[in-house]
Amino acid sequence: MKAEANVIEMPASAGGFLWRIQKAKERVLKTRPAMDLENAVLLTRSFAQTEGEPLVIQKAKAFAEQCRKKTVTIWEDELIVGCSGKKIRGGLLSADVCWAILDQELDTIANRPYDPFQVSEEERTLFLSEIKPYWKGRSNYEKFLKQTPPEAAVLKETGIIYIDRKAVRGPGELTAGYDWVLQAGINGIRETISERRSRLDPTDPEDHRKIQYLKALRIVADGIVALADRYAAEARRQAKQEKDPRRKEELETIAAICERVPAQPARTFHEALQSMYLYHICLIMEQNAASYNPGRMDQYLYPYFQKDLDSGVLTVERAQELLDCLWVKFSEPCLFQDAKTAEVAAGYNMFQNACCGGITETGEDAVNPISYMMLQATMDVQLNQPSLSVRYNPGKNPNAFLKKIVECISLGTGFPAFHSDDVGIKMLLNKGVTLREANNWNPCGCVETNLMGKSKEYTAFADVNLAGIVELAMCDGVHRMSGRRVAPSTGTPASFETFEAFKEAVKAQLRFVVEKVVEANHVLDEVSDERPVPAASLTFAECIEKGSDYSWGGAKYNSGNGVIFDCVADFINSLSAVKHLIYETGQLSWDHLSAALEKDFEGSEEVRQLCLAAPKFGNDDARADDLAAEMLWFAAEEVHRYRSRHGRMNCGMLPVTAHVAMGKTVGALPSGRRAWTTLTDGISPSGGTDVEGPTAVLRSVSRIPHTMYTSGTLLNMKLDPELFHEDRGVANMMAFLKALCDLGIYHVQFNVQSAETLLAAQENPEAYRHLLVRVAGYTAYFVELGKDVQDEIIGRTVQFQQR
Amino acid sequence: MYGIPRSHEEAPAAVAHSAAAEGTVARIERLAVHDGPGIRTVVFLKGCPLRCSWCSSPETQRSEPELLLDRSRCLLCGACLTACPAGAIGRTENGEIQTDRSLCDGCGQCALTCPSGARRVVGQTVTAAQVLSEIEKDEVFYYRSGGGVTISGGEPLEQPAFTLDIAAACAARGIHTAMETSACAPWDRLDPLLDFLDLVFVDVKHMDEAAHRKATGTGNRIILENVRKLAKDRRKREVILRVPVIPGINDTEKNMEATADFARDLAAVKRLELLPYHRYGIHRYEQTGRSCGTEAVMVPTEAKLQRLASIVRTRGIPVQIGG
Repeated sequence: MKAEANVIEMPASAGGFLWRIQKAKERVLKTRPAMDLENAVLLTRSFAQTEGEPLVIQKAKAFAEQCRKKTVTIWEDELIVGCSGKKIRGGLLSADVCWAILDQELDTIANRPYDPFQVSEEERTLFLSEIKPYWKGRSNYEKFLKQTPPEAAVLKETGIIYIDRKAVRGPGELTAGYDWVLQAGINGIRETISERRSRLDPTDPEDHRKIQYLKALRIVADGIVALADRYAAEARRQAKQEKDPRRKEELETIAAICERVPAQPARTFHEALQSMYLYHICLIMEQNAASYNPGRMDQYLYPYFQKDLDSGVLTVERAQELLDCLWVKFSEPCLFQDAKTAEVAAGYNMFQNACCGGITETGEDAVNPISYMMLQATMDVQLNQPSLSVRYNPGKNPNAFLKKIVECISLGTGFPAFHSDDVGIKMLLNKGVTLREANNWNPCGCVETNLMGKSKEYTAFADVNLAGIVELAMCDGVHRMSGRRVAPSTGTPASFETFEAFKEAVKAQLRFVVEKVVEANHVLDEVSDERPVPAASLTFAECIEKGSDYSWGGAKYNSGNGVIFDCVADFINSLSAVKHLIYETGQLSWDHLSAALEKDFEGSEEVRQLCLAAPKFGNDDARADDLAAEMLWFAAEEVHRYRSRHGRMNCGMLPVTAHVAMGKTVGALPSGRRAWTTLTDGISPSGGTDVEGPTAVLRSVSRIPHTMYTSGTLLNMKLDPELFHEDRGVANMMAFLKALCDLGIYHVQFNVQSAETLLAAQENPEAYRHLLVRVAGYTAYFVELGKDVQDEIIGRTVQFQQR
Repeated sequence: MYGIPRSHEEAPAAVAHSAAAEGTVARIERLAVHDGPGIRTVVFLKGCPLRCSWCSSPETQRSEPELLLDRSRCLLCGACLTACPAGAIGRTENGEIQTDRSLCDGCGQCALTCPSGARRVVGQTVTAAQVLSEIEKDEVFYYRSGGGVTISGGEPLEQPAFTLDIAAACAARGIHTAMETSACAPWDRLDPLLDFLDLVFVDVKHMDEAAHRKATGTGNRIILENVRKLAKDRRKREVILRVPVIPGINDTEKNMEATADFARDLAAVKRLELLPYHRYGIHRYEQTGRSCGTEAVMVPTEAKLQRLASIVRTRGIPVQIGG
């Protein structure tokens, strides 16, 4: 949706409303995450009452019961209301999916190292007396564990793969049809359901099933409207008691809005925001999961904004305030998952990916005032949600938009995630989507790809530890840490007469592991038939037309799930070191290297130094990068060979924090990395090994076939604040990002170098050899500088952070 | 700007240029943003006729390859002891490794065997074509940022044929090319380069002949003469004068006034840049076995820099602090 005039006058960010945002932020930041079992109890009681009905009807009725009975609260001074549970930072348990994970951790979850949740005595009792007894033996998670093929289970136990992520909570990873809710309202969608129902024949067995399904959709639609009515009533109740006339009026407005939306089409910008958020909390309520993505908000919100602005009922400043309020709301939900998954994806992060920029369906510039305001909201709010993404199209999007992006990046919050629009579009095309629809893509979760209201795929189903695969190839299929044989014998190092022979062994191990992941995937797909999501399916038009749930494949486009390759740089660097040291320069023999790895380089520091000095990925060095290109093409094509019930299997490279957890199970590597230490995130170079600077990193990363990895590829970069210094620094950053698009790289996210990093480098120079500091006219490796000079640079960085 | 069109007469042989000249490169730095417009690759050549006491890259002064030693990385493994053909490396009684630099000819054998990178050789002999292949890697960044290549040093004019080959090959590829020079060389080395350069940075370290000689080991007559010629040259290349501001050496108001007066008379001078003294190169002295002449010198104050800048500005010359 393109604006008439592209750049609008923005209110100063010290706008008169920031007190409200600050207050809401503090409410979030001061609340410790706690388990919130109200919904789980309501669901359990409803299921007990509806036994014997079709599963999807049971699920729909339970959802509607939650809508009618859950606690409804409006917090002080908020303008956008709604909460998926009872508590502001509550961990929701989807009892039908995975009750057992709370059971395992009931005594430890309050103190676990990653993402702890408090559990009240009362809730503990409710869990043990009501939830557990009802669901025992019935959940998806239990079924998935029981049915996981034994070889996959062993690979999981030894940290080579991780496949439980989609079973320990809901799968999420979808972008519901928010635009349809805004335009048609739930009432309009109800009419579509009725119309579809009228074309079905109850005597036809296929139609019979569809009729049941449409009934379930009707039930959830009624529930959503009932929930909105309850928020309206609560607003009226509070308004009646409110003494402050300003707040009284605000509450009355909220009441009027919730009486109208989402049941009816939104008319104003405020109604549009409230409508989308009310529907959004319903998705989380239906199934606790990460990655329910608001998607291209600038596109579906813009018409309401412009209409209000034209008619004079809204100012830009008020619109920004409302958007900022919504931004804080996105930080309220907390992701509950088991301890293991929390370690793999730490930070309570809901990965609600909101996106701006890019092109329209027909290929025109899509940037409009809301695109800028979304960036401004992230700059105003500075919380970790929503996950703000930009689609940037160098040919079509204005420079002013890129400049705003760089301003936001320079705050150092890591947002926005920057995506090359063209690569995203190609990824969608590579999933068989039409060009017009591909143009409308949106990032999902971390960096995956989605289509609002149209696509279904569990984009990050499994994690594959590539570092572990190199280790298997060096150890003939035996897992070094446990000594267990977990994979077929592919030859001992002594048998690798050429580097090609070793590479073939690595490929064979990879092939085996992918095969096992695919088998486990089919189990997940089967089990997932028993967790329909009618509330989410409601806004996938084809689910209504086909009378089939999202989780059964009802959406327009269905893809096989995503296999995520982790620890890419460790993998490439290990292959590169073996090639260089053993087969090219002859500086090491396999015996020498294997012995050093076995003992974690104990007593053979010179071997480790040789390993560290071997060619590394991230330096624009063909000796390493050629291997990256070859092996990552191979890995992607290996995954693409397989089909699932929902389509061709897909892959990506986005570890979240899996590389940290996986590191604990992998011994010393030829890359020079020590045993049991963290591995490398995404497609970034390993810490301390990229010594040629950021342009070399991009050139290396561009060797990866990004468009083959349709679940996305994730690049993290750290930048010296000096690079942003002055107008010319901003211009250079803009050029850098345009060049990234030229190189066909999909995504980058920046952290600005902090004083903490520099202090850490002072403590541990070896891990920070790559760290460049820039002073006008001079660039130096930080760790090489004297302590006094280092201190001076730290002082300068602190100054920057305080700006 | 990237891709400045040059007429065919100006660079007749450029396209077919073989870039065969050999030279010694100290290092190549990518994503440089302070030595000319946009994102640049800076090629630092080895060898310089001056010996400025404040030099932040002393390892580029001599034209021969030389050994850089980072003791903090040394594992004391002793691999270098047997590698050295000159017998310059020995072990002391308490196990330390000692290098006798008077015997070292910078052959680099020790660096090749050193597992930890404690020993490195600065100064690699390469062809201009090899430098070009490094330069070409970042073409997309030059194109997007209006950047290009800067040939620096050391002193590029110490290796005139090599510098010419690099500049000509860049010009043939439409890459914006700058040179940073002390201009302390015969004019006939500078002259042919101007066919290919878009921008020339010249360091003017002191206006007083005697003071210049004292600070750098060389007089400034030829430098100032070259700047005047450069400013009048028919090819009208952009010139930027750079003045390092070194407390106690050239930071008097009088010297700045003289510098600014000199610049005012030269229409081709686009601006004057004051480069404040910094201490980020001090560790290089130890690594190359030199003693640093400005160890005790502190960086100039902001107030001082502003005062000097205003002297330049009042003469109508654009000035900027920092590169």
